[in-house]
Amino acid sequence: MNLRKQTLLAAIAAFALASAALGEGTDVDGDLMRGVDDTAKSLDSNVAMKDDKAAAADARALVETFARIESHYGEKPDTADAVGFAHRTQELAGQALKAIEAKDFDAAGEAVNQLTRSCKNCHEKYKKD
Amino acid sequence: MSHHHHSRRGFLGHGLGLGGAAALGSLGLQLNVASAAELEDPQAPRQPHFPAKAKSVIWLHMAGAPSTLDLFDYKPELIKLAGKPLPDSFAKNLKTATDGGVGNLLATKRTWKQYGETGAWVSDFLPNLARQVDDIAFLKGCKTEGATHVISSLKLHTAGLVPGRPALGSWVQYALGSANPDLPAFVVLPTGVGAAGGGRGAVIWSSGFLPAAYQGTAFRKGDSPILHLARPEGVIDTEQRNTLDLIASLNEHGAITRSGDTELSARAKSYELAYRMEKSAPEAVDLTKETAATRELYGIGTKETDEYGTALLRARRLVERNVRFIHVISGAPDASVDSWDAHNNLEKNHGVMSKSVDKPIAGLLADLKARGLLETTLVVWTSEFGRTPYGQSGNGRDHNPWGYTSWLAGGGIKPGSYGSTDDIGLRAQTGIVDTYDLQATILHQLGLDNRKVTFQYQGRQERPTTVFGDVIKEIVA
Repeated sequence: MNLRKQTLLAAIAAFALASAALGEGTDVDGDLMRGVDDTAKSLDSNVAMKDDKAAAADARALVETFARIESHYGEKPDTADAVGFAHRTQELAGQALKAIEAKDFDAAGEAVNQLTRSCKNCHEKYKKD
Repeated sequence: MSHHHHSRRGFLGHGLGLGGAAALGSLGLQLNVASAAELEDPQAPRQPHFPAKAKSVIWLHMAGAPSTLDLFDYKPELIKLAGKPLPDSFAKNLKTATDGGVGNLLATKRTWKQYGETGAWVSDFLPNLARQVDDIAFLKGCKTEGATHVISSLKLHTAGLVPGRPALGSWVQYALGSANPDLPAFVVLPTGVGAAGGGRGAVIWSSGFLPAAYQGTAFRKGDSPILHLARPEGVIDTEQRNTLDLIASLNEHGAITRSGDTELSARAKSYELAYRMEKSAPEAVDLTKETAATRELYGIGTKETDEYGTALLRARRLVERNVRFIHVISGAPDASVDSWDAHNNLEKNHGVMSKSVDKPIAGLLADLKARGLLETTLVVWTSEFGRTPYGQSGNGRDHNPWGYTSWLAGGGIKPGSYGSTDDIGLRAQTGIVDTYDLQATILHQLGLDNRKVTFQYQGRQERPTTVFGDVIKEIVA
């Protein structure tokens, strides 16, 4: 397991622990989002290299993380579009996962492409300048 | 000698192809546009993914960050609100770090007019360029990340926020090879005095994790553009040629038992390229062959514009010699200012800087057009970021990564205006273009799909624009 994946898994674990301990008040913080960013890059690379096992692991991690992010924003007021972005990105990670499992790497690449666009669109609104 | 010559050519021409490819494979290189056998000769021309609109790029990097609010982005609302604090409606979630604190809104002091059929607004800082607007596509909704010159300049040139990634010119050279075996495909023309403003050094034309052969070659001022290129005094041509023939013969012999040694092959090729460049590089920058009218067009011979104009005329000559990527970095023409970095006294700063680039850039565009070269030459004008609508130090502006203008001309680009900032020019609002999108568009005009140019590094498939980058289709002709 490379360092990047370890970082994301650690971030997810920390997020899960913090969520359990603190409940709905837990923030989606910079560390978690940096982990997501790195996993998206890893997924993109693994799809390009047609490494189905590594790519599927990345896609699963993103599905799980975006489900948590959706849930996180769902508990906050006035964040309907953030919930929408997270939901859409989770769907795209799921589409990528399905395509990877079918070994259709062109379709997986397109899903990842849309996923990174979705990340960027969300950042336009939510990443603080 | 002819035997050696023939033998050397055979070696250089056919080289270590398959063995080299195998070695590259073992190093983990995954090649796309460049096949492994072609990468073994970094200079070998390679086919694009689809027909290219542009053959060459001239990238005009305005180091230090000009205020496009005082050049291209006319904002009447900012003039109305001048002297007032930055309204909360514009400043929401804005993280500022302005030294001395965020000043009140600062109106441009320039006179503005619309020019040409496209009606582009240009201030009187750029009277010559204003006459060329009908060839320009203005990107008025540019944005980036970071608020320091070095970080944002790295992102602009390498798509990374830390050093280590290749410059766009390196990716282009890697993907397409060289269209002229006697010159580097990626040439850098730094201008000006000092290195103030940050983000100007070799790190922005580095080949990063790509092989070193793809780094930009910085040309010096003067007759001998490359350091140590000239033959040493006391060595005649025949003597040098015989020495190189002997070295090539020994390398050829050594290669028989080292068929996978790409370094050996690259070294052998570099001797020959350097030898050829002894003649080709000085000739490429020899402006004595240009007419007086052409030299005047670029502002050569006038103190304020001489150096930058010389660089741009060199750039045109390099385009004529099929150099693929020419990176011209602006600098202060004299010691009165540092760069475009006008934290204070913007009027004086931009007066000096604008004057140094205005006539040369207008001259370049006109000259390329007159020679039929603009159609296939993509000219890019941009910087690491723009400057804020609020003031700093009373009469300057701070860094603004949130909204600024860049422009492109020629190379299959449709003139006009695309995107916008908000009413005071603080943030990109419509037609938002990130640096990744600009890079993807430049690659597209060269016939390259930014997602298909790849290089494997540290187990990851890397691309010129990372995982981002969409072609700005609205400006592609």
